[in-house]
Amino acid sequence: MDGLLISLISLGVTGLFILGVPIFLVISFWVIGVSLVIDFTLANIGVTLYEGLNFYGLLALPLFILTGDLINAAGIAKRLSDFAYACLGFMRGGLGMASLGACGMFAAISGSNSATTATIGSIMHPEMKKGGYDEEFAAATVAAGGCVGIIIPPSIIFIVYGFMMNLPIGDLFLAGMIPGTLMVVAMMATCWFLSRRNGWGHLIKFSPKRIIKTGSKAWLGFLAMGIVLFGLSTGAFSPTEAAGVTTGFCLLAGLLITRQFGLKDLPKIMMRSGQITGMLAPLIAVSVVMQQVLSLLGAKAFLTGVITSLGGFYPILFACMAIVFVAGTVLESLPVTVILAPILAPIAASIGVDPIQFAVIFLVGASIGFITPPYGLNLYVASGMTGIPYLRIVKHVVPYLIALTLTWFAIALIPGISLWILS
Amino acid sequence: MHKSMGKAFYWAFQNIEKFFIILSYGSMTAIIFIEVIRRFLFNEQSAWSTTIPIYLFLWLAWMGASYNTQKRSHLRFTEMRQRLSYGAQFSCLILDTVLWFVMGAVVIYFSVEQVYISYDNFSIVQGTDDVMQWWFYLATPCAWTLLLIRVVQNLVSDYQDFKAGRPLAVQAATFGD
Repeated sequence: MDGLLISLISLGVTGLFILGVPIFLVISFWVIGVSLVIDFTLANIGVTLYEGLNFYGLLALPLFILTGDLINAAGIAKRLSDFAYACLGFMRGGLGMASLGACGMFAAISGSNSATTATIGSIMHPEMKKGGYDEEFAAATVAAGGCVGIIIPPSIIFIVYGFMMNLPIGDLFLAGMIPGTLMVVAMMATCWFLSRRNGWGHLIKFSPKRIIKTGSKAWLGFLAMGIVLFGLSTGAFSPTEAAGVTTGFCLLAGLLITRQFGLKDLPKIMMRSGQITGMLAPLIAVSVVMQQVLSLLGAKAFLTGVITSLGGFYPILFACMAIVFVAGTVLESLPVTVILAPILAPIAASIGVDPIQFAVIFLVGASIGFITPPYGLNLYVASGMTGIPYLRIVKHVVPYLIALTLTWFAIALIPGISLWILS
Repeated sequence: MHKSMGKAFYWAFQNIEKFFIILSYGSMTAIIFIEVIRRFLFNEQSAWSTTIPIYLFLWLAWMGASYNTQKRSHLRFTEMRQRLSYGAQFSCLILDTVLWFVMGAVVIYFSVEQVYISYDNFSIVQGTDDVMQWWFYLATPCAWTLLLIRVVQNLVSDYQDFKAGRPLAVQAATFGD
């Protein structure tokens, strides 16, 4: 009887999701409904909405979000984009590839996929449109480029994953470096191939002078990346402290060096970051409650039984990846991580996958979810920013999706891609 | 005089979330930044520098949730809702309101209980002598009360739009102002 009721509740909340009810409420109502069915106290919600956010490491999330907005406001993101264009503009598809490269560099200072798409997209999409690219392809390029935001360190989702699974966040960050770079390279190759085939983009002359000039202008961006990398690789700061220092650095850079914003602009910048934090933090808290209820239902034991019954290393690994991929098509990466990581990580560990490598496999899969319909957040951001209908961007994002999926399999099958840097 | 006071009060009320978000975000960032620099340069750090920011984050997170409700920018899948008939779209907005109220009632009821327990036990923030935990735990019920007021305000605005035949707010604004 309980099983039937829980199935009906799950169907009901799926209906709410399709009807456009906020995801926070969709998850909340599943939690309330199932808690009532299994006679689990609702007081747990009151406690977990505090306890779910009560972790020092989680503070890196709002700080890296703010860093992203400060880099943009300080003009550092624009300078990094100019440098990427100077390096790649001489090739067919160079501007598109520069957009992807700029996404990678932005991701190395900030830690959010949607912020990467929004920031680099607002700078590079108009340039690509002017530069002879199909505007729908240009929107798809910045949407796909944003996927490395959470893989190249620092990363908001790595922080959440480390928090949930009790793994060293610094190690997770370092493990994401090569896979993130590989994702950028795979997308650049896709962009080059498509641009060459369709004759998109105007070429600029290869000029070392221009590269040096734009590179020297982008020094603040490189320094910000250096601070994060130095802090994490030497252990001088924790990820949260690295986030605090980078935020402070970008603030001072914008106020005193580039002077692109003043003190009076700070509330507006902080409100933008606060709005994104206010979207993500409640989702984390309520996903923690959902995870607890799933544990009570025995979902972990059930799913473990089903997956391990497949037998063998590869079927189990691919089943875990398939679950992450499917969940990523309908859920935001945070709930996917909070709900599925505690279930799938022990299964992967039981077949001998290194926990850090599995974290990277898991999060690259969750990251691909940012451009998979029906729920692809980066596609929404690109659509909202460019005014191009969502479904038209989806059509052009498919080649990037294939490239990223192939890269994902390479990351899953070759542990060295994630773990070499740690050794 | 009364009119201008009323206007000022309305402006302040409409911007409560902004005040709390900027205050908590700014203080949290400043504490972490300054304390890391102090440790790095002078080898000293306050004990509360790793606890107070966590509690400030509670205010930031839940006031941010209320602000997103005001701006209708909570994450959602909007493709289907945009394709519904005008009447069905309005019904969906009423459905949102009902769901927010049910969830709000659950959260406020049980989080007030938590605040009371913390108040009753004189729980102090770790690393401090006299900063009470309940000052920060109060964030959840306060922000949710405000959130429900924003829900009502949105519903009133939706009803006015519906009566006038204007387009309804069914597109999620991922990044607001």
